[in-house]
Amino acid sequence: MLKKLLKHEWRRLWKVPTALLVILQIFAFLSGLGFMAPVWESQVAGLSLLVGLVWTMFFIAVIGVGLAINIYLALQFYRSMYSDEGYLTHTLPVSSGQLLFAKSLVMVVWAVISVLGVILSVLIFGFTGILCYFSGIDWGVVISDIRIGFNELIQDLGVWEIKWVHILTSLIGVLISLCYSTALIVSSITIGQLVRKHRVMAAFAVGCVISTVVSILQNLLQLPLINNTFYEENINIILIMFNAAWIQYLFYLVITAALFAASNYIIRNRLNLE
Amino acid sequence: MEDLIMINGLSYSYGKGHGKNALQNVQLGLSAGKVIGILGPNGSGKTTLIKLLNGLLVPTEGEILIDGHNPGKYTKGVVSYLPERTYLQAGKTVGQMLEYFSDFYQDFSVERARVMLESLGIKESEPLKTLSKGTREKIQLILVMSREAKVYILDEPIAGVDPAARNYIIRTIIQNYNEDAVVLLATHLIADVEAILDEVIFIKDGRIVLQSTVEDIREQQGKSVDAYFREVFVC
Repeated sequence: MLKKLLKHEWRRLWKVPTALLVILQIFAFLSGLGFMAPVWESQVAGLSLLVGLVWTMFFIAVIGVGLAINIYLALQFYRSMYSDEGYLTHTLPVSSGQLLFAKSLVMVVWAVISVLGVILSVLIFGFTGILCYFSGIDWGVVISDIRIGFNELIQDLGVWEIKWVHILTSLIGVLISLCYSTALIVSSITIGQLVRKHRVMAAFAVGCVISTVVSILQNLLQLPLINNTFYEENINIILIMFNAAWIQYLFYLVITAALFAASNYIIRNRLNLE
Repeated sequence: MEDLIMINGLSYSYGKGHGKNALQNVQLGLSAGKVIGILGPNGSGKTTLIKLLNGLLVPTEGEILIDGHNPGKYTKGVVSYLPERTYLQAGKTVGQMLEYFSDFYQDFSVERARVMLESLGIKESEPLKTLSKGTREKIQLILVMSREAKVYILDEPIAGVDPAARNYIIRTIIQNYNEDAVVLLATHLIADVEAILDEVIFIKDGRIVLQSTVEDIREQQGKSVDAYFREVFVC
């Protein structure tokens, strides 16, 4: 049954986020073409303003698309679980845990896809711009310059070396953070259903409270580790961040599991569709 | 014959601030092979009872057994439920809803559903959001009645529809339900459904005030169920 739940959940959700991300890539390419405009040399009044406006709109779109996809996923979760559609969803011959897991997993997958889509759009914008602005590009030189610039930047931050384990840790951390934010959305909406009126506002308030409390607790957990390092000389920032990150990720995993369990309990025992 | 649905000492309260219990100490035994009307005025507890049977609410007290199981994963597989509301997913087509039901319900008959849809001139490719409310309600009924369920629970299936549609709905119920099943039909429009009922349950203020066969009411009270209902529930 889980496979069927995943199949139908995917089918229900894929169209709108896909459309948004495709539009974003097209907008990225068109914005990158703005580098073709003779902005610095032109006497045409307003050309630089127009191109600048397009680039600004692109960067707003990058943030906006990510936000829009999250809001869409949250609304669809609410609709399928707690609106009239909930009368069908909650009478399927599946457990509440399977239902929650299927919906949450598809939401996490779309969160990952939207992050990758946003990164891709920035790369498209950048590379389109480079192709338009410079002629006779030696890509080997470009990549080498980017690498040199990156290394200088991280050394200025006190980072001596980045190993693959650090990159992998960061990627795992991003995935865990996305799982946590999905669990936050799911649990906030679910807990919001416990009130009689103004359930959407209640969900929003619950989300704010949970995220604030989690943030405070996370900082308190990491504080002893970070605090001690301020008195050391020749500190290795990457090592400190690496250790602090693992504390944060483990904490997020525990919180995610707790939020999932709480949501499951509420659906099994306190469901009350209007 | 052992009762297919057994309800023992069932009570439900929506919580503080909601006044008295929505259901109070309900005791019922419902056997298979019958069409049973759950009759009561608005706010009497019909929908609450139905939600409890479908596992959409958890009892405050008491127990429900459907085919020997508490409401859960198993009972959702043998209970076919038509709620008061339209629960179809707006973004889907008729054909996609057929696939949805076929995927999740082992007892769903796609062919039976297709025959009924064809008789109404509804195409599988039609998006649900382009159809009228009445048509969506009929599609929902067709999906529910295309299952070979052990229990059919229909909550106000004829409320808010025209007389011709009411006849269609009642005909669809009678022609398609599994005769080894029990059909629970909650309504306050008794005159339209009386002819198809075997038994009736009167519910008032969350309590069962009567459980009887239609025949017994007519013999003992000398009047139709509708007339007797109006007497019992006089304002």
